[in-house]
Amino acid sequence: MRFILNRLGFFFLSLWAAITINFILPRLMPGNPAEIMFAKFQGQLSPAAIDAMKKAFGLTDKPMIIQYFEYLKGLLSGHWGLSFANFPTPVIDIIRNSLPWTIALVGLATVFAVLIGTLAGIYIAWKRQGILDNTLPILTMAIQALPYFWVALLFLFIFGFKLNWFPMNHGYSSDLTSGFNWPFIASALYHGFLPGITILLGSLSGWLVGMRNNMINTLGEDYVVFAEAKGVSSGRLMFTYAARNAILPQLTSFAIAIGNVVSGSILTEQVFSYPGIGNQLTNAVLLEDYPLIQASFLIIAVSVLVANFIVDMLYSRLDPRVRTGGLANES
Amino acid sequence: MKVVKSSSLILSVLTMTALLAGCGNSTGSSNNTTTGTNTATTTSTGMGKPLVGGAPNGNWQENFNPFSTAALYGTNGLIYQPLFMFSTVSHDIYPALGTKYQWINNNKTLEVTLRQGVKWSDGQPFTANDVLFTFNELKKYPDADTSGIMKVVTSVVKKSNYVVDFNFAAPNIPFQEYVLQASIVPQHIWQNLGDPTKVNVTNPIGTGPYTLESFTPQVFKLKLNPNFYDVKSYHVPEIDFNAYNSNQSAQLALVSGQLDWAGMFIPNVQQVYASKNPNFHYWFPAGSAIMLYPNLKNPILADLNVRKAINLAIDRNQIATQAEYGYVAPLNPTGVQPRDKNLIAPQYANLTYKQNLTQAAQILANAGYKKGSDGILVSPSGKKLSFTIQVVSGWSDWVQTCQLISQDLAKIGIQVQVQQLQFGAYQSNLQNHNFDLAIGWTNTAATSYKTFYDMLDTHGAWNPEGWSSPTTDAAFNLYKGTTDLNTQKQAMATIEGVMINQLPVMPLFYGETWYEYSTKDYTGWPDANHPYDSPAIFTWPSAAYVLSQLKPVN
Repeated sequence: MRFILNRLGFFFLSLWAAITINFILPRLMPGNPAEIMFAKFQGQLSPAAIDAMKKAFGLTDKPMIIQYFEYLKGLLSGHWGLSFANFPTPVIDIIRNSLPWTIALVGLATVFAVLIGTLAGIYIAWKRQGILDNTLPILTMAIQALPYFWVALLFLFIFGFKLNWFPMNHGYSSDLTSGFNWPFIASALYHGFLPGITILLGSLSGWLVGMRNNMINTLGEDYVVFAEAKGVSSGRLMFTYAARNAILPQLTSFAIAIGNVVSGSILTEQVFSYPGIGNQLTNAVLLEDYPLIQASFLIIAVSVLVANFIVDMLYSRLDPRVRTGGLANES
Repeated sequence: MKVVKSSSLILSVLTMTALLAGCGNSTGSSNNTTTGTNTATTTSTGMGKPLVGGAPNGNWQENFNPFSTAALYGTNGLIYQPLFMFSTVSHDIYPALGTKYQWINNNKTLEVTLRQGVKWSDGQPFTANDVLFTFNELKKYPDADTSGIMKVVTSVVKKSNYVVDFNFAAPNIPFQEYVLQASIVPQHIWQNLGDPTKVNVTNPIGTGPYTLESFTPQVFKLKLNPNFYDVKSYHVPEIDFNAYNSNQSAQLALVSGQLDWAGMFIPNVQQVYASKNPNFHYWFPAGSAIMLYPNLKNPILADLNVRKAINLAIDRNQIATQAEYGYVAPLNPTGVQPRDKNLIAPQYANLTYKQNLTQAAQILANAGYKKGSDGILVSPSGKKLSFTIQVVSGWSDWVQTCQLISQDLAKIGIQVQVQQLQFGAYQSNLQNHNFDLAIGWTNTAATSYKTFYDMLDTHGAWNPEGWSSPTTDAAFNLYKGTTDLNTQKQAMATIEGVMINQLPVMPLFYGETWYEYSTKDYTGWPDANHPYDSPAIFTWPSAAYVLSQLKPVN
């Protein structure tokens, strides 16, 4: 119980820190959003526009500290404001339109990468020096070593442009309206396949090699040798004895990966014109769209923290030593 | 509480009328369907396929608010219309909701005659009241007045049901572009919406040739408004605007024939795009000039001799071919764009740029600049001629231009370091005169007056170099007070003389207007031989006029 309270305390402290940094960082950037919007129009707006936009955006000369409390109040009451770059679209609408796509695409690709990578890692460690063990790690590492942007463009060029097997852009066919119906889901899966597979290939080797190496360490432990000598079945030995212990570091990485899912995959979204949050966030930073930057970073920070919190809890189940701080029995 | 009640009352009344109307319709439905099919067959002969345009700006955000600076394509021109539309590549002015305008009262009043018989897309008639209302909104909510119209126009008066007078404090002819090109909104809808900048318009009601059909962040579709007053001129039944997240992605869609219309930078466009299909074309008309801005607050750069030497040392041809792929016409040293060549004084019309390093070095030597031991010039007051040149990082052609300038200037002993900055920092440095040298744009407008006024007038909106002189200010005053072309030419000649002799800024090349189009389904696009309006998909309301000129193939 003390452990949980401890973790909760840490969770809220880091959340506050993230929210505060989130407020300060965009305001440290040179220039201000109104000037940038003005410059973007290169003369189609008159100089009066800078003042007009500042007023509309609510960029006031109030002291920082008052702005900060107004910002906290807005966050807590769910008023995340209007996007500057897409004025007057509410930030929440932009996020609602893009975040689900990112979570579905990057989330699924990550889960598949973890599952495939971990299972394959367990298997090749068990059959080490086999043909798969000699090829898979090298092959996946080679793919991961290539610049992601290049691999994605290559896939797009070959399977989208030349062979025409997959659509070249967008999250679903533009003839369909989004909804929970089969044609739409099928279209979304079809459109998501190419971007998804590039993300999966790009992250597979980390999971595979990590799991394999952990496994090999664990397989060398005395208790595994002892269990084998006692005649424990190989399946049980592989999963219950070796893999359960070897998987712990993977879980930590998984928490971090899940947190990163929310920040989107900017390159994937740019290459495949996928309607996710990553590209929105890039544009928001370039145009100093404070409300959108703040809202997106808040979501990212919260999801990383929540994912970490959950894994901390899970960890304590899997490995009692974490809970007791190394003591033999729980206090 | 009262508000909620009354609005729900209105709502129930509306549903009632809709239900009643529905009942009425159902009795005559057989009649309706026959007329429906009739119009479909008659229009199909003159109609083409849906036209698909695309832009690499990321997902669309639903926003058809003409007062917003982030309004979607088509909001201004296709859905809402201005009184007149100004071409930015020719000198044409096309009528929209206005049919005639004239300057009266010693050029202090702009009188506009409105088109009669126009209906909003919800069926209500358009009148002078809507025009009055629109401009009063700008007055009431200065946030919405991004062109600062109501700071120049003192009052808007309804002279009759279809004549409106705009009164100015002082004559300002070129400013008509802003007044006449402001989108007009329906009073009966917007009077209930409050601050117009804060309204997120998702069901726009306009007078224009198109109405909104559907919207998603990936694509939004506009369809032809059958009640538009000049519906015969439009042969495109539907326009789809596709969103892309990157140039590469949009370029693939373009090359594979999925797009009919785009406006983006493509390196080596002839080979990458135009050579792939006989229907693929491009035309990059010159926009306003891209300049090398010296900061005149820097004591060394304030010396005309230094600016003359820099100007002579730069090899513009190399910049045009290497950094700009030879996409645009050679530059006139006045910086006046080709569209306005009739405004270039005869003595400057045939000037061209030629790099001359010896002469550049000579000018500096005569002015007392001497080379130090490291080969870099030192001014008579003992300062090194070492500068930074600021550019936006990632704007690759501009970065390359800066590197070429740096190489050229090194040859005459001036050291220049290229400094790449994030857009916000660059913008703010230029606006606050916090730089030595910088490459930058000039403002685009329907008149050269506006471009040069912004850059060289003491109160100009884009004057990073900090030029201020009674001569140029007087010339701008002369220009804006007259409708007479010869007086305008005389004023421009003064300004051009300053550009040539004083070098407040140094023109480098004309900025290109990116524009690619396919003639597979439609012809009539603007091109080098028919430069009737800006062809760019991102320049509104010009693009609306382009659409009226398209004819289906067959």
